[in-house]
Amino acid sequence: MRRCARWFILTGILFLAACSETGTGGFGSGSSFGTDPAGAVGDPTSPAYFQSAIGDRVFFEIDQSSLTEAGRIVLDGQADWLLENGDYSILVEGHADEQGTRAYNLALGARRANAVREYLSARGVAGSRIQTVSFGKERPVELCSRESCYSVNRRAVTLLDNLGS
Amino acid sequence: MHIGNYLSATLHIGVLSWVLLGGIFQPQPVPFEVSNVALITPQEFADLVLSDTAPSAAQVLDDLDPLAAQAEDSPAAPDPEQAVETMPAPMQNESPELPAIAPKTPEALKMPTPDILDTSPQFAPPAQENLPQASQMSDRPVPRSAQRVALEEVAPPPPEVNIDDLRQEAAIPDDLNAPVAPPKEEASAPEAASREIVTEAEEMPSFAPQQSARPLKRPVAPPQPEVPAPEPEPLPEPAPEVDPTPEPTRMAETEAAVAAALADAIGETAPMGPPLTKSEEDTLRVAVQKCWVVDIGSAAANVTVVLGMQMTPEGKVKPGSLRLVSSQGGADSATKTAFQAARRAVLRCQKGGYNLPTEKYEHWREIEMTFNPEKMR
Amino acid sequence: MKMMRYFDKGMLLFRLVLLAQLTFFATLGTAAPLRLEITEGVVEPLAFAAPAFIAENAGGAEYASQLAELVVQDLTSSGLFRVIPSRAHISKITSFSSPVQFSDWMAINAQALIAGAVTAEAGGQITVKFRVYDVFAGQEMGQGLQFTGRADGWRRIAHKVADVVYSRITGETGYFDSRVVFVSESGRKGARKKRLAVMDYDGENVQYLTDSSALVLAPRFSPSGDKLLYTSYESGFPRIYLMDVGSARRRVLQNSSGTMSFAPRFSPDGSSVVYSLEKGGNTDIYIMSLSSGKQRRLTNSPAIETAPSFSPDGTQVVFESDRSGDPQLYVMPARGGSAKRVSFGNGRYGTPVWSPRGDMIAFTKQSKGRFHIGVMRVDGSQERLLTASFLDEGPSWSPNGRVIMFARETQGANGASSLYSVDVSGRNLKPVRTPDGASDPAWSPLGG
Repeated sequence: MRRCARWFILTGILFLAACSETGTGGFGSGSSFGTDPAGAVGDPTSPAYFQSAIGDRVFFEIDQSSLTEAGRIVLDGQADWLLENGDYSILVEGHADEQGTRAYNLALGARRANAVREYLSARGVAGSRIQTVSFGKERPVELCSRESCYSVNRRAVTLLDNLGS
Repeated sequence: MHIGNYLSATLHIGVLSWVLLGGIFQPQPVPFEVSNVALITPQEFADLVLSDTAPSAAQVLDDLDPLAAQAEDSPAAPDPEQAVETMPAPMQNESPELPAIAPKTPEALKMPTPDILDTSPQFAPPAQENLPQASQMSDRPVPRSAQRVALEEVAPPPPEVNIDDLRQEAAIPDDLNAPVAPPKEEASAPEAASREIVTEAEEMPSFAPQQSARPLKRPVAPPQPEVPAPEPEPLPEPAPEVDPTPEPTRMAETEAAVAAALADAIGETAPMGPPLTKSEEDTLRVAVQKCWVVDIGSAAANVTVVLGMQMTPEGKVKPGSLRLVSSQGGADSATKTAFQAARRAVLRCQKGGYNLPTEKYEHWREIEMTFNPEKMR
Repeated sequence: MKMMRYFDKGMLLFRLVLLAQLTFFATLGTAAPLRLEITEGVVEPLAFAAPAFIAENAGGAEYASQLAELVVQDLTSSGLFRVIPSRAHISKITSFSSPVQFSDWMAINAQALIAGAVTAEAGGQITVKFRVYDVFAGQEMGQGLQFTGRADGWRRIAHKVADVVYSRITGETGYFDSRVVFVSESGRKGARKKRLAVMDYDGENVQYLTDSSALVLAPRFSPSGDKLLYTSYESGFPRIYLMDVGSARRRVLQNSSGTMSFAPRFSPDGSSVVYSLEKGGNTDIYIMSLSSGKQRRLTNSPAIETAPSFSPDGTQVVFESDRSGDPQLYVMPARGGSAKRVSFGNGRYGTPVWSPRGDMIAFTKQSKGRFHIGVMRVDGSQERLLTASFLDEGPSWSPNGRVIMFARETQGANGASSLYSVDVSGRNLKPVRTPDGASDPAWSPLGG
């Protein structure tokens, strides 16, 4: 429920923001992975739309690499988008929270990234379009040392790369 | 002739029996109870007593130390490793189970209560807020961590005091009229020590309350433990029976030989005195223990060495007589290190001579000391 | 009469018994030594004195007191020694060869005395000679020794002197002439800039080996101390690299696409590298020959297997695996094979490192929300936790297996990581000075 509300608010805001956009702009350099917010969010084929409207990340329970129900819904959306926009390949980054040793968390992040890859693959996204990497606990997005931060750090993020340009 | 033989036999038996069995009829001295002491800083003690005339903790300890020495001299000495004393710990609501010493075999010493306790004024206990639940604290008190591990706990000395082996008060020249000012000695105190190594993982957070509570009424002394009657020592077995087949000539020869040997033996045993008592042995043991530095974690901590030495009548080691008798458990270099550490222990602590009874010199003229670090690891 | 004969024999018996017992007492008195067992000692630093070294010519004067001070600092920092300051000394050492007044040193309770001298040589070199004395035994320990080296490397000479003193007194090799490689960290949490750095074990002489353009993790020295293995993200993916410490030149070791490699360690003979390889989400342990580049798989399970470490004799490998449900420690033969679990306490175990002495394994343990550095015997017995904090991890052994260095991170948004060291007995826990934040320390071999 909360996710739907967030989606509505975000899309609302971004539609408003899009009104002031003048052009589509570039989608970022073709050789590097990255999300390019300069794309028109209103455009359902833009990475910005992917990132905000569909959701570029899924979250995990402590020590787990299995997808949650909420995660599967997000990935369904990702898979649909990727099938419609065949120009893009993706890099799935797996991450862990800081409650573990460095090497183990690297391996755990890799498991999480792989869980996403297998799911998308099963939905029809070609394996050649998917790469995975793990950052273990090296790149948290929230820095506090509490579960509220840990829960958003335990994630797998899907990054788009435009093969076309 | 018969009467003479009977008389002689009776006296022989009597003397032998008295020598062998007389000991068991002495009353066994009652073992004392030794309670453990928490050494507290002068500041805490001042809070405790709340009296302007309260002596500093160091002085109090000095007062109590001679009492400990007295206790040790009495026949059944308490385990000298536990020779520290009771002071009421004001913070704990439990009965006086006092902190610190790792429980080996505590024999509790019922100390004559020091003067300080008798004069402490009775205060109404203050509001007991914020006192930690007794259940939070472990029943077995956890030793505080310190950089040094020694046989007795030593509280951390005040910061301005130098670390030294002796505890000294800073000497203050007492009188302007004194012709020669005494040499100024800096206050020094032994470095803080605890009974065992406390790693960071084992340290408990301090449960000390913010306010010091007034002591409750003096706790009732725990009852003395029952003293079981000691087993009488078994008699040494007599020599095996002589072959009874009668041979008159042999008898005559053996009789003569025995009479001669008897005369010799009686002559030799005169000046020796009884063997060392346990407490005298313990005095020596404790003295050497203080100087025996064990390097836990090194290979030498696995090696047991036996040192042999000869002593002069003053209680010092005869130079050149200290040697390694045997060793067990290590490679050459570890054994050498263990031997050197044991040697240093003996030589460092002899100072003016070990405190051994001169009238029993024959019993300790030669000593073999085994240094076994097994329990320290 | 028969009675008489029996009675005479009876008297003989009495006399024999009496004789036996008197001779028993007699032998007791004069021949048997007093036997005593000492089972408890003290654990405390050994007091020693190290007066300033003697400058034997003008050029040596500059180094004379610095050398003694650094020797004192090394020995004191180990937690096993305590220096008696020079203001307490009664007699002075005025010449290297003059006899020592042992009674003066005994009086201040110095158990060991170090006497040294330094001479400046031609060509920017210095010669340092020293003797160690056992004060209470009144004799020298071992023989006098001398080192010659570059004057600007005087610190290293002092470390070597301290190592000799340490080994003569404790009977074990020292660890002062050694270096530590680590990851130097700057910037805020979540966006840390990390780069490889090497320093003397005491924090001096820091040198950087990489820039911070790519994330680097967990460097480890080779057994000869001249090479490093580490993990770098410079290709965008974590891969293991081999670097020559002197030149800082590096090459990638494991490059297969679609995989990640990390947690590398050398074998004791320096010829192979054991590491984790991730493929398709699963991480296993592999070994690669450095000369041929061929790799071989050592574990084959769907669980995470990582953080491998060789035993010093090269026959076994200890590693971390969550095959039982959560991370625990296992030991397997170095060629692979069935693994035996060695961690049994309550909690999660990781980052196992085999001690250079071969007798213990150091590890990180998580339990009840806290992290600990601990040690255990190689069969898992006698586990002992040495530290406790919000986040301690990554122990590394000193070359003599007596001291462990590890990283400790503080919590919160401003949390930062720094290095600490602790004696294997749990004593002497203290920070190690680094210019910035630091993590992933690894100790070099002696002389490395």
